[in-house]
Amino acid sequence: MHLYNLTLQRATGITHAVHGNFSGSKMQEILVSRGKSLELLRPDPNTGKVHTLLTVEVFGIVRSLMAFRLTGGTKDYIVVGSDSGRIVILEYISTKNIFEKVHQETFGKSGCRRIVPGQYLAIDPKGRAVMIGAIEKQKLVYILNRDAEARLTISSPLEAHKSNTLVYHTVGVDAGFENPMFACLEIDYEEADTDPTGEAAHKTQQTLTFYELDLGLNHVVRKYSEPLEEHANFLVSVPGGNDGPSGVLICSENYLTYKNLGDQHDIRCPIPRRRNDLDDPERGMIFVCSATHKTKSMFFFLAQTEQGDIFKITLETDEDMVTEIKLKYFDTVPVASAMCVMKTGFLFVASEFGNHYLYQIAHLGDDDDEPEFSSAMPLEEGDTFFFAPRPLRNLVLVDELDSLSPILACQVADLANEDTPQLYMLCGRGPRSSVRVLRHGLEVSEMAVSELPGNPNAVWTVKRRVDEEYDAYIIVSFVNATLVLSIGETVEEVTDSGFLGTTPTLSCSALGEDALVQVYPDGIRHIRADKRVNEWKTPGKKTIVKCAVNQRQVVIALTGGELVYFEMDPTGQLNEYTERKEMPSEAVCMALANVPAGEQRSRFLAVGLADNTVRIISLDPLDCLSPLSMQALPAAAESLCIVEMGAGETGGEGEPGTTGSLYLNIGLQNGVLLRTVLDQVTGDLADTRTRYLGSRPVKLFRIRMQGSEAVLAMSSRSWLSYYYQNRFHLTPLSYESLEYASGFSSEQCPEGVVAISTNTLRILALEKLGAVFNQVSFPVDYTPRKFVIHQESAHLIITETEHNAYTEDTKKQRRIQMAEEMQEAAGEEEQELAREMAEAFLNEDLPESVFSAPKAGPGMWASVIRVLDPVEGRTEQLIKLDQNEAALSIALVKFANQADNQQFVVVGVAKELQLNPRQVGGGFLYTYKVNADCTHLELVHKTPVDEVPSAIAPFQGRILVGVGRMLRLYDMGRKKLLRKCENKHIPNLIVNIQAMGRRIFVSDVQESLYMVRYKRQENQLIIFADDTHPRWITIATVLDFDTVATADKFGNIAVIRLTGNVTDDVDEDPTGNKALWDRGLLNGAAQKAGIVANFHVGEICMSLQRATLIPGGSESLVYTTLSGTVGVLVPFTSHEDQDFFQHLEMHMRSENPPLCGRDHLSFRSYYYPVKNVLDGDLCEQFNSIDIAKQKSIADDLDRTPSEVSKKLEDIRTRYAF
Amino acid sequence: MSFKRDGDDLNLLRSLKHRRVCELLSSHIPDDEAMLLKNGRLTCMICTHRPIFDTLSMLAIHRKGKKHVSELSKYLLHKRELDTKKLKSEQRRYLCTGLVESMGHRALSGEAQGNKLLITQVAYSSCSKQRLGLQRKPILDIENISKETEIPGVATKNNVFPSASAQVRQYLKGLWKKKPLEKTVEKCRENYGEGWAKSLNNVVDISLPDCPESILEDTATSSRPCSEEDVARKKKADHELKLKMSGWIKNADGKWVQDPDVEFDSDEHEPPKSSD
Repeated sequence: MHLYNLTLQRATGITHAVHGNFSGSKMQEILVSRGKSLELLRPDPNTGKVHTLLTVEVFGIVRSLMAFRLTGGTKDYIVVGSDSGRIVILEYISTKNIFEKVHQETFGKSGCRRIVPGQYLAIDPKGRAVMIGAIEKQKLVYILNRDAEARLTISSPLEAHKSNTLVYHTVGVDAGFENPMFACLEIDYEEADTDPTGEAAHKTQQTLTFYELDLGLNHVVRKYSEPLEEHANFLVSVPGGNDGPSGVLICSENYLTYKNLGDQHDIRCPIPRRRNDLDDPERGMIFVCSATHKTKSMFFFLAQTEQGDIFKITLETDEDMVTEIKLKYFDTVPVASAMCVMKTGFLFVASEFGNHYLYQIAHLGDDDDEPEFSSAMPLEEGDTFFFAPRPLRNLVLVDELDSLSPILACQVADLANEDTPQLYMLCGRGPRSSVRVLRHGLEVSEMAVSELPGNPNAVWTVKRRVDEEYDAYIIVSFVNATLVLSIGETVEEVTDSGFLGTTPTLSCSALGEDALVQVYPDGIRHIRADKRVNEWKTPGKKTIVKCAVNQRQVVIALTGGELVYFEMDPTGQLNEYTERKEMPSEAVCMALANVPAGEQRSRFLAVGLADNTVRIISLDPLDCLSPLSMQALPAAAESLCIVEMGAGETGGEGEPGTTGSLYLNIGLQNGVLLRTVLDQVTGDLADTRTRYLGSRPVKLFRIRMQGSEAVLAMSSRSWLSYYYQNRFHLTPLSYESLEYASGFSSEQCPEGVVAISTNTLRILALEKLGAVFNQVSFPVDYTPRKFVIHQESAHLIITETEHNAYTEDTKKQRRIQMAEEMQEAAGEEEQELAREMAEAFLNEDLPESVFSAPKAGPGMWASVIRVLDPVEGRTEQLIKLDQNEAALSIALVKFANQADNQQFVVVGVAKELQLNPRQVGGGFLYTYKVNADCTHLELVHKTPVDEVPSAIAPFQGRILVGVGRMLRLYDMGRKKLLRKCENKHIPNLIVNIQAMGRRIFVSDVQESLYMVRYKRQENQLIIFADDTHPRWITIATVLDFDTVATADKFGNIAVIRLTGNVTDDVDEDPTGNKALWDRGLLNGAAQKAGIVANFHVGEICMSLQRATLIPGGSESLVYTTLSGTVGVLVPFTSHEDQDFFQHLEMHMRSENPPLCGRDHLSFRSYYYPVKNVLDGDLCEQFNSIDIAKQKSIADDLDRTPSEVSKKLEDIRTRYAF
Repeated sequence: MSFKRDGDDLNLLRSLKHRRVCELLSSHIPDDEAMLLKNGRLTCMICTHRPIFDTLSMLAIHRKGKKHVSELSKYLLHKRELDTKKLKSEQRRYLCTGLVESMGHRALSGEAQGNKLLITQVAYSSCSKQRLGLQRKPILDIENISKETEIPGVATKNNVFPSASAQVRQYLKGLWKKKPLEKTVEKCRENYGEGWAKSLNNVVDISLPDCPESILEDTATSSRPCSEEDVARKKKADHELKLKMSGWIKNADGKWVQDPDVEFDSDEHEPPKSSD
């Protein structure tokens, strides 16, 4: 078996985010790392929408990311610290839309190691040096400079190592143009390590150490080190030089401290806390992330606590000496892993879990009534300030970026009966969790819907003048009339447009500078700007059947297959070409390309004829109306569309991008879309791609999407074909079926579509280009862990379990208790006030999804069981479990000894579970009876067990339960579930049970799979085989009777198989009747499973399922990861394919080494050597590499580049999207 | 890439013929003492370090070696110990459950594992009164087993064990009765590729119930019409299986008792009656 890895949706969680002028223009971009890919985002300052410019898979783990700018430069570079043992400096080339590796310096072994740098990066704010540090001991400093041609240079590394030192954070101190300085949070463990009494370990203090790079001596010195009172977690650099006092802010538990070298005293300020918080008041509070905003005149910091509250921090100075730290509550947003304040006044919040947000900073919070806390205010040690959290006041939400991360479980099923299966996912963590339903398709936002008098046939939009930004008219054609609507504040009917209203329209368009043209069955109407009208009438009894129009040309086909060509001359007159062209049969469709910029005409006309051919006809004056090429079709053409696609982004300063090529799209009557390359010189047709779109004939419409041309194809479903990030996308729209459409542009909707559907006119916008899935999200209370699907009613039964949390009841009790305390604490006179406050406190309702849930402490659990209708998003039933009950497993079962078709849900619940060290106060198996339409669960009984019931699976009319390390078989009893059989030979903890036939595949938390057989005659569960590798399994799924696919917590997917000579007919061995020499090594099973495939995904997979993603497609193995990736492993069906991709992968590895310097082969073999899996993500990068390289690789494969990309597209569309 | 052939076809033929003759002339190697590996090589199953040989003749040479002989004596020693242990456990089980392991089934499973050093036949015993719905009556008869099967090591009757070398000698004498390896090897070579089909068939296997129903399968699959007796027997076997699966075991008197390791409903003192 050979598999091919395809990513359907890249990771959506963000681990790092930095901002800067990467493109070198005035625009600021945000560069985010999504674990193993880099993505460049640009918030549009006008609309506030965040667009993705570029996404690159780096095949390595990005551990740190920084932007820097050389002194006096205008462009920011990117430094990447990764697991490659190399420092990499990248530059974004906006004209080619790629990242270019400027420097790559090797310093150590690859992998995430303790003493190999890569974990921390610090940049000198003046861009003169970069420090790259390891967690322990090693730090290297590279000097950055420019050479004579202003190219960036990098020095050889200078060492700043100190052994026996652990590092927590490093930051570049702004020392102006003095020697570059770096501050590190360190701890020296040497003494603690050698002291056997352990006393030293308690006494060891964290230190703040300054390293100075002496540019004169070319040498790094450890300049100054100072022990810290509190344990700190991160540092913020304070602007220096002319901009501020320099120094660092140390964020530690409960305190924020300012320190600087020299005479500066430490300034210390407690971190304010929420008033009347349900959290444990003894628990420390820390800042988790910060963002600095600096202008010429001022600077401030935004720092976020672990509850999500953002504080604005300012420093009061007196002649460059800081006298006071001031803190002011700013707003509360979800806890972020990184924040960026942009020059345009946006705050980008990359959330730790769930969706990311872009906020507009509406106020700086300078002049409001919010109290300001200062380090100068006298406070007792241990005391702090209090504030009241409130809804957003200073920030305004402008955009939300969907993020699935973390995906905890996923199942592919068609519960909504849509014939394309949906992906049901459990996402998020804590109160921000959700159940999401993903459908393949582009999200469509409906801007307007209006009813029309009757069913229209067609719709167009035209501009009044060519240089106008927005469309002026919508023209709607009916069977016997044409309606003209003008676009303004509102859309209303006009009669003075010059269009003929008493006839249906075949086509209309703006012509030349400021004229319009209307083609109707009996003629052509040319409307000049001054409302003069020129009419051309059809000769004799002929009528116009088809036409094609662009900005300067009109071609019509008369009945009988005669073509007449008109072209606009420089005076604006529409002139008929002297000859007409007789075609061999009736024209069924026609298309003209847009007139290329700076040219007089489009040189090609495409005509689809009734004899199942498409012909390209030249419109060049030299050989006008002479045929150039022809393509035969499998069915009659319905519609044609010529577009120019594949053009690179035009740069911000108007430099031209790369030019694309012309594509002829042919929609056939049998529902197939063909895309063919139209040679811009010869008019030859080549490289045809085919895709079935739906059951109805395909109609094609040219529209504009993000500044380039795209094709809207309409069959029984509507599709958008567009070129995005070096790849062609053909994505269905998640919208009802449409009949006719046209591009639409107005002030409210700059890039939209106007479409007709039955008797309505709709204005639609397609915003999330590049997204494969559109999603519907339903919020849930706690982190959803597992779910089962009740197939008959299409309901989901979900277990939600939260650690470190209170249940609703406990929260209510605590609130009442606190309110009482409040009243008691108040004096006589304040009673009234206290009661009011208590009341207000009890009624306070801040959504936990924003303000975070109170943390109850370790070992405190809250759980619910939810019955959800995923189509409507309705919760049918919510069963709340008691405080400290953790629902960990669930299964839907039919018991053999119960009535037929009576289903039960068994939920495994652990009581008082402590995670570290692992302790449990027992557990229960809750058995619920499910009613027929799965709207109600009725508790039947509760079975106590002595360990954590961590996995449940139905098995031959009974259930298998993993209770700690015991595998047990339970049957339904009257008062509880009855234990019928047990196997105690699984070593640690059972995390997953899968059964097929008589075989049971049991996953251990750290010892991989055990194959177990149930012997009915002896009523025994016997391990007959196991795996040879110690995998830390997260999920396993059975592929066939002998084969299992597993994923582990280190990000590997493996397929293991029992070989042909393994038998499950073995005896158990407690009595020693199995041969000694037959017993495996170290008490393992005698028989071993073999490895079929191994692959390192790079992210932790939480679900694996064999599924068909497209109707009529083949099965593939779908996986989802904690970081939000959805991917598939597809099997190769032929050896030729496998051979081809193997070679392509090999060439890509050598020709296109990954961006961050990690070797691709070693990355994919991170834990186990990659076996029998080819990496489609690497192969698909073929489309984005240099044309010359493409050519040379394709030559080596004996193919052309387009054949290679066709193969890449084919394998993707055969299995997925 | 191309390979240059050295030698001609005649040469190759001659060497093949030579090897074939060598194989035919090689001494008798029992089927269970060596194994044909998937890659076509052979390994000695007696030696614990599992040496690998390319040809039968190499294996034969190995078998004459000192190392092999010493391993063989160790092997026999182990085997005897285990046989004794097994018999003891069977006896113990018999005493507490009154059940006799179905030996026919055991022999079959043994064969499947390539482990045929144990029992190959089932003998009649008068002391077993139970019928497990099997056509053959399973028995436990230590003497019979040790006599009838060619296991020289098992001398449970007398406590004086023969010396190691004597054991080896005795064992070697009995070797010729076993199925020779050559035949297996030949068969494997002839039926190259058959294993695939077998592994595919496995999938069909899932639906088949566990082994005791093999008889049931027999009745079901055989074309002869099943008599009423068969139906009754099938029902009985079904019922017994159901009882066993829910944790009932037969004691020495043939009565159903609850397995102490299995949980039952509090009012479930008697095994449920068969449905008819």
